[in-house]
Amino acid sequence: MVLDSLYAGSVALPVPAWIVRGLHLVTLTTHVAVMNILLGSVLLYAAGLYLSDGKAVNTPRLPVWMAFTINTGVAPLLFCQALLADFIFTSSILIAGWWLGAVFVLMAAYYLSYLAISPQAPLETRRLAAIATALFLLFVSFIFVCNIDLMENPLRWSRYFDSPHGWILFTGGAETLFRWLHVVLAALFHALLLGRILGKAGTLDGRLGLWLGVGLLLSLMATGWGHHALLPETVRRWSGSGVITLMLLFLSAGGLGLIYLSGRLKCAAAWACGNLTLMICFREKVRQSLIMVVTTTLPPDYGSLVMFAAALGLGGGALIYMLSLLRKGGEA
Amino acid sequence: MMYPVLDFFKGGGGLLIAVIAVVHVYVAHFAVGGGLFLVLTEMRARKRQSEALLAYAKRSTRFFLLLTMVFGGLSGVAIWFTIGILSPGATGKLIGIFLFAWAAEWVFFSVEITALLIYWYRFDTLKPADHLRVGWIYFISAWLSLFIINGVISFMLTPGAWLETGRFQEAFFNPSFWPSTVFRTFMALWAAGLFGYVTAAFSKEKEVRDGMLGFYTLWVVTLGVAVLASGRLYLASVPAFHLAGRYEFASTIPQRVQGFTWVTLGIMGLAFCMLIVKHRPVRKPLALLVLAVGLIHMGLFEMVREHARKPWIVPGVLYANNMAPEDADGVNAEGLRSRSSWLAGDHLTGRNLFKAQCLSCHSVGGLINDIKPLTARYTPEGLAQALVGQGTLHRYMPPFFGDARERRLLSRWLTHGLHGAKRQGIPKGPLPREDTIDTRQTPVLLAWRQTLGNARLDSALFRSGDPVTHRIQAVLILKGDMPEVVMDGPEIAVSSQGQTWAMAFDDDLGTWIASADTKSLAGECLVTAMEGGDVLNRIALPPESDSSRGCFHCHGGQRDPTGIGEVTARNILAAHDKNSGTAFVDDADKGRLVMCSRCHRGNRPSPSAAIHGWHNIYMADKGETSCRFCHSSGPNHAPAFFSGRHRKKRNCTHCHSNLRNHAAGLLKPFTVPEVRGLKASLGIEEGSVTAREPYAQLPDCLSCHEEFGPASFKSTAAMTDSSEERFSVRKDEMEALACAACHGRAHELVPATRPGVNDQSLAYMGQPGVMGSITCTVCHEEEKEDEAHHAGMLKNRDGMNTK
Repeated sequence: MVLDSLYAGSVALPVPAWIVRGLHLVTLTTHVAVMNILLGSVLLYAAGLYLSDGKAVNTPRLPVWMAFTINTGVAPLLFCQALLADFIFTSSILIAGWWLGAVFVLMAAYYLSYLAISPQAPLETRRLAAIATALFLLFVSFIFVCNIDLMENPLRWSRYFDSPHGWILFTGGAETLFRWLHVVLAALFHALLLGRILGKAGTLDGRLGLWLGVGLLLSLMATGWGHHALLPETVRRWSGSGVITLMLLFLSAGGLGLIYLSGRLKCAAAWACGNLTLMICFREKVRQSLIMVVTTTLPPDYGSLVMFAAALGLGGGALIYMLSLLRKGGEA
Repeated sequence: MMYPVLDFFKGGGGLLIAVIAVVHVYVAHFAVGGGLFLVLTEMRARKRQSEALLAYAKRSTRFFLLLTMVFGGLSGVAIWFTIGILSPGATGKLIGIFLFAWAAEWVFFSVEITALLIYWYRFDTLKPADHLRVGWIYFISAWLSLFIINGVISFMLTPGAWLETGRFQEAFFNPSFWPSTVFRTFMALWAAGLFGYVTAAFSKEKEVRDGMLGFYTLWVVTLGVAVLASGRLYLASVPAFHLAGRYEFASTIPQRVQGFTWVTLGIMGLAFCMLIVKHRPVRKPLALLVLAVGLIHMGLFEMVREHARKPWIVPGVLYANNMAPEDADGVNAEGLRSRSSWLAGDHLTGRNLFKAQCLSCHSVGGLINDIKPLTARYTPEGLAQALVGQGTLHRYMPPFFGDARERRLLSRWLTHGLHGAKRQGIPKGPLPREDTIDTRQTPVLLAWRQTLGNARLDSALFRSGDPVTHRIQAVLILKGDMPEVVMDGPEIAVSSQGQTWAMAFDDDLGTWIASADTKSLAGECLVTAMEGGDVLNRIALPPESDSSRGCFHCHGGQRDPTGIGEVTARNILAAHDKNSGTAFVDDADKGRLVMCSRCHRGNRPSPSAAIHGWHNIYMADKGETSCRFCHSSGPNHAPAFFSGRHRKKRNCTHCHSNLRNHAAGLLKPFTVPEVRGLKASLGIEEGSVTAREPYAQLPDCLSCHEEFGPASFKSTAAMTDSSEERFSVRKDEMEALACAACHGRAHELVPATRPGVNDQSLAYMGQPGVMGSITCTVCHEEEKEDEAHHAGMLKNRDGMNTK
C-alpha cells in the first residue's frame, strides 16, 4: 500500500498544535487514571465476590466510576482525532464491528454494574453481574488496545482487503498481548492503591494487599519491558533517547514500589499519578517513532478556544460548588 | 486521504447512523427537558409537602439516570464512533472547525453527569435548597450542551457566512442557529412530557397519577403549539432549495414536514386521551404509545434535516461521500485512485468505487435508498454517461469523482455486477433481395426516400411534433439528346408491404411524390412507372435501415429496431414527470399520445433544443460517440442510416458539429429560466454561437464543397440559412433534377455501404456511384463535355468515382 497520503495530516487545527497536544495529554492521563480505577475495582470486586461469601467485600460505586470513565474518555478521543485523524479513523474503520460493538458491550456492563452492587440483589446475582461486568470491561479494554495498536501499525492495514466488514481485531503479536496485560495490571494496582487509601480494600487492606501491590508493580514492569522489547529496533532506539526513557520509567516505578512498601499510601498515590503521566508521555514518544504525523494548522482562530475557556470557567465553578455541597453534606 | 470504507452493503445509506441518531436524539432531548421537569416536580412536591410526589420525583430521577446517563450517554458515544467510521472526512472537517466547541460541550456534559449523580445519590441527604440548586445546575448544563451541539448541527445545513470568512463565530452562529436553538429547546421540553407520561402512568400512587397526568397534558399541549410554531420559524431559516427537493428521497421532504405537523397534533390528541382515560390498564399502553409516537415524531424531524442537506454534509464544502468540490478537477483528471491507497492496483474495482462514492447514501439491497432499483434500467454504457452529468442538473446527487476508466468500472458493476448482463443485440442490416427487379435502361426511373425529420422523436407514447410522413420521390426521364423529365402522362406508383400509393408530380419539387405514415413505407418499396397498362420501368428501394435509438441505455427497456420501445418511452415520460412536474405517464396510461411540441414551442425550447441541451450534460465525449449513443443503438455502432460515401472519412460532427455546438445553436434563441442551466453547462460564449432552427437549417453541402468542388479533409459544414437550401429540396443548376435523384439521400450518398442503396446506379451504370458520374449516357444519347447540371460533375470521368 502507498501510505504517503497518510502523512499529510487531515485535520487542519484552528490553534497551534501544542495546545491540542497538551490538552490531549492531560485529558488522556485523567481518563486512564479513572479507567484504571474502574477496571481494577470491578476485577477486585468480582474476584472478592467469587472467592468469598461476599460479606467482607466492600462494594465500589461502579456506576459512578463507569460514568466518569466514559465521560473522561470523550475528550482524549476528540483530541486524538484532531491530531491523528487519518490513523485513528482508519484503524477504527478496520475494526468497526468491534469498535461499535464496544459501545453496546459497555452499555451492558454499565447496566450490569448497577445490578452488581445492588443491595437488594441476591449474592449469586451480584456475583454473576460483577463477573459479567468485569469480563465485558476486559473485553472493551482489549478492543481499545487492539485499535490503538492497529492505528500505530499502518502496514497491517492491508488486512482490510481480506476482511472489509470491520471484523479485524487482533493484528499484533505478543507485544500487543503484553500491552493489554500491562493495562489490566495497572488497573488492578491503581484500584488496589485507592481501595487501601480509603480503607475499603477489605482483606487487601492488610499485608496481603501490600504484597499483592508489589507483585502487581513487578508484573507491570515485566510486561512493560516485554512489550517494549518486542517493538522494532528503530522504535526502541528512538524511545531510548532524550529525557523520557524506559529507564526513567523503570526508576519511577521502582520508586513507587518503595513508597508503597513503606506504607505511605497517599504519597504513593501522588507518585502513581506522576508515574502514570510519565508513562503516557513515554507512550506518546513510542507512538511518534511508529507513526510520524504532520499536523497542519490554519491561521489561528481562537473563537472556539474562547468558548472552551468560558465553559471551563463556568463548568469548573459549578463542579467546585457541587463538591463543596458534598463536603458540607457528607459522602456522595 | 481517502479512508477505507466499511463493507456494509445492506446497512449502507446511513442506516446505522439513522437508527442510533434518532434514538439518541430523542433521549438526549429528554435529558435536557427532563432536567427542568425534575426540578419543577421536586419544587412542586416540596411546596405541597407531598411525600408521594417527592417519592415520584425520586423514582423519576432514577429512571432518568438509567435512561439518559447510561443509554443517552453511551448512544452519544456510539454516534461519535459511528460518524468517525462512516464519515471520517466530514468528522475531521467538523473537528477542524468546532474542535473546542466540542470540548466545551464535553465540559458541560461532565457537569451534567456530576450534577445528576449528586442529584440522585444525595436526593435525601442534601438540604432541599441545595438539592434543587444541583437540579438547576443539571438542567442549565444540559441545555448548554444542547446549545453547543446545535451550533454544529445547524452549521451542517446552513454554513452561511463561514463559507466566505472561515471564522468560528460565523460557523457557530450560522443562519439557522437561533431558530434551531429555540425549536430544539421546545422539542426537549416536549419530550420530557412524553417520557413523563410513562413514569406517571406506571406510578402506584393515585395522587401522583391524577395530579401529574393533568399537568403533563397541559405541558404537552402547550409545548406542542410551541413546537409547531418554532418549527415553522426553523424551516423559514433554511434556504428554500434545501426543502423543495423533487428527486428521490428529497421528494419526501414536504410530506415529512406535513407528517411532522400531523404527528405533533396526534400526540396532542393522545395527551387529551391520557387525561380523559381513567382506566389504569389502558393508560399504561397509551403512555407507551405516546412515547413510541414521540420517537417517530423526532425521527421525522431528523429525516427532514438530513434529507434537506443532501447531497452535502456541509453545503458547498463536502459532499455526503466525503468528496470536496475543490478536488473535482484533480480527481477527474488523475482518477480517484490517485488519492486513495484503497483503490490502488487490483483494488480498483467497481465494487470498491461504489463503496467510496455511493455507500454513504445508498445501500445494496438494504432498507435505505437501495441502489438496485435505481440502476436496474441502465446499460453499462448508459450509466457511464449518466455519471458524467450527475449532480449538474439534479443537485440532489453529488457529481461523480473519477476519470473515464473509473466511471466505466463503476457503471459496469452497478449494472452487470448487480443485475447480470443483459443482451440488447446488434442492429442487423436488411436481408439481400432474393428476387431481382428487372430495371430497364430506358426510360430512366430514379427514386429515393425523403423522410422528413427522421431524427425526430417518435414512439408509441409520445412524439416530438406532428406525425412524421414518409415520402418517396421519383423522377422519370426520357432518354434523348436533350433528355426530358416526364411531368405527366404515365402513372407512377409505389408499392410496399402489399399496399400501393399513386405518385403525383409536384411542380415545386419537380419530382413525383407519394406520402404515407412512416411505418407503411418503411419496408422495401417498388416504384413502377406505367403507361396504358404497360410497365415502362420499375426500380426498387431497400427497406429503411435499423432505426434503433439509444434511449434504452439510460431509460430502460430494450433496443427497438423501429425506434423507441414502449417501456423505454414510458420511462422517458416518467423522467420528464420527475424533472418537470408533468403527469405524462398518467396521460399515456389513459391512451393519450404526448406531443412534445404542444409545450415546447414559442419561447420554450423546441424539442430538439431541449433534448440536445439536456443530454449534452450527460455525454462525456461531445464528438461522434455521443451522436451514436442516441441516434443509433449505442456508442459502439455507427448509425445504420448513415452508410453513404461520407461514412468512410467523415463522421456526424463534420456536418452537424459536435454536440456542444449543436446544442448551443439550437438553444440560443431561448431565454426562459429553464434553459439557463442548460446553456451554462455548455461552457460556450453565447456571442460566438449562431442560432439554428431545427429541421429547417441543416448542413449546407456547398459550405464544404465550394463551387461543387471537393471538400478539404478538415472542413466542417455550416448550416443553411433557410429550409430552401437544404440538400433534400435542392436541385441542380438547370433546375432539372433534385440533387438526391443522382446522389441519393443525404445520409446515403452513393456509393453507400448498405445493401440495396447502390442498386439504381448498378442498374443504369453497371457500377455504384453518383448517377452520371461514369457516363452521361444514362440519360443522354452521347457523352457530354459541358458540366450543365453543376460544376465539377465530370471531374472524375477519367477515373472511377467510387471514392
